[in-house]
Amino acid sequence: MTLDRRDLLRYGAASAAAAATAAGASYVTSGATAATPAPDDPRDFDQEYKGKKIKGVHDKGNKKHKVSINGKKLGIMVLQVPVAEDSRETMDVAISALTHYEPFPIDERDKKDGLLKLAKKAVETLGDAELTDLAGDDHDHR
Amino acid sequence: MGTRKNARDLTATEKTAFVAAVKALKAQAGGRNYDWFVSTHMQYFAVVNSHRYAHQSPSFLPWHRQYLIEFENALKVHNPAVDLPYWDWTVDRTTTSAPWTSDFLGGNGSGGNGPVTTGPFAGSANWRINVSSSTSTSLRRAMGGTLPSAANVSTVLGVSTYDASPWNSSSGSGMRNRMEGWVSPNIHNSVHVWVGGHMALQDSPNDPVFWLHHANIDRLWSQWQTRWGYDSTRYLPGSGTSGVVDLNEVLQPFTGVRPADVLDHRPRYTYA
Repeated sequence: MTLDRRDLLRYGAASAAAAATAAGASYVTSGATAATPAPDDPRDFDQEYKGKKIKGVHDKGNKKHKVSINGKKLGIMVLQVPVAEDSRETMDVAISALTHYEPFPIDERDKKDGLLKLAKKAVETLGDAELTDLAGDDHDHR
Repeated sequence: MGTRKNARDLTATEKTAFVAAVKALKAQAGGRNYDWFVSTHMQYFAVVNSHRYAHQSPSFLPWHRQYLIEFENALKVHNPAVDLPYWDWTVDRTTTSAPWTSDFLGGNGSGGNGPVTTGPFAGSANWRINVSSSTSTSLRRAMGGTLPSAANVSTVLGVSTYDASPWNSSSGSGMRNRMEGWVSPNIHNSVHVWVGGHMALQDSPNDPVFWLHHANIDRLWSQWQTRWGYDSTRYLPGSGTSGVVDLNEVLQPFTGVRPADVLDHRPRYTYA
């Protein structure tokens, strides 16, 4: 298979090869070219939760992650917060139009399911309602 | 000068007057009506003109102080006797205590995340949600979790430095980020989450309890000022910090109003 420039930028060469392996035979046999989308981030999800379809696509480079609920966009904002009081060390957290005051820690290791947890809480908050267009507005909190 | 009282101490007449004024502002056609306040909070939660005005910044406290003053003045157009009450969640901590009574803000949502069913804001015919991230036109609440304790508040009020670099959600020291809640012991954010429903959303002012919660946050800042000083040197940063509202920069969209102008609230209102 070939690794395009986007793959290299997204993963670095070594992890891109690992990601391609993890993606399995279907990806390889699809005949990867420069036009083939980059492999999925292992943190991505596309599933049903409490009767709603939730989809999450991570953007490792720019942290502009995307979440939708029943096909409607949920605006996501990534912030940095201290890991503890009086600490200068920070971690990434995600909030959204629906979980606006409740940061979900998110990283590529032990908090890699942060965006999924956020999406599930957003579904619970919605109940039998759906997202409006306003929920999809992008807010740059950085 | 107005006196902002604890919601639990309001008379029946005061409760009725507050609810009526809030509903009159909701019904007001045009101008800075209730939904204008909802939209403004949504807009200024984000970065505007490369500045963080309302949240994740030192101006969290003065921006909301002025926002509450503007809201209170808008209520006074309909009834000059109305002052904002506050909800002290270190004392009233259950789903049936003040202010969640049927003669005031009504109770919890039904079934965990459903519409409020009691009180004057129950159902879209009584209180219609027009500007929201959710398609629900009825006010919702989903109370539960953990409210800040009096000990948590005491800890935060004991932090003498107002705020600290980098002046945003990642500030590890200083009082403001602890009060706002991006660092432990998380005061303001956790109350939004505890009420749930619309209070958890970016359009949180749709729930009238927003004003009572923020009046309490403002009261706690007032207590901090009483302890550590009302003078302008207590607000940080003083000047020259890009992307942040310094002491003498304008708190948009409140034309001409700077943090320096709102630090001493005592000529305008006090807390009982």
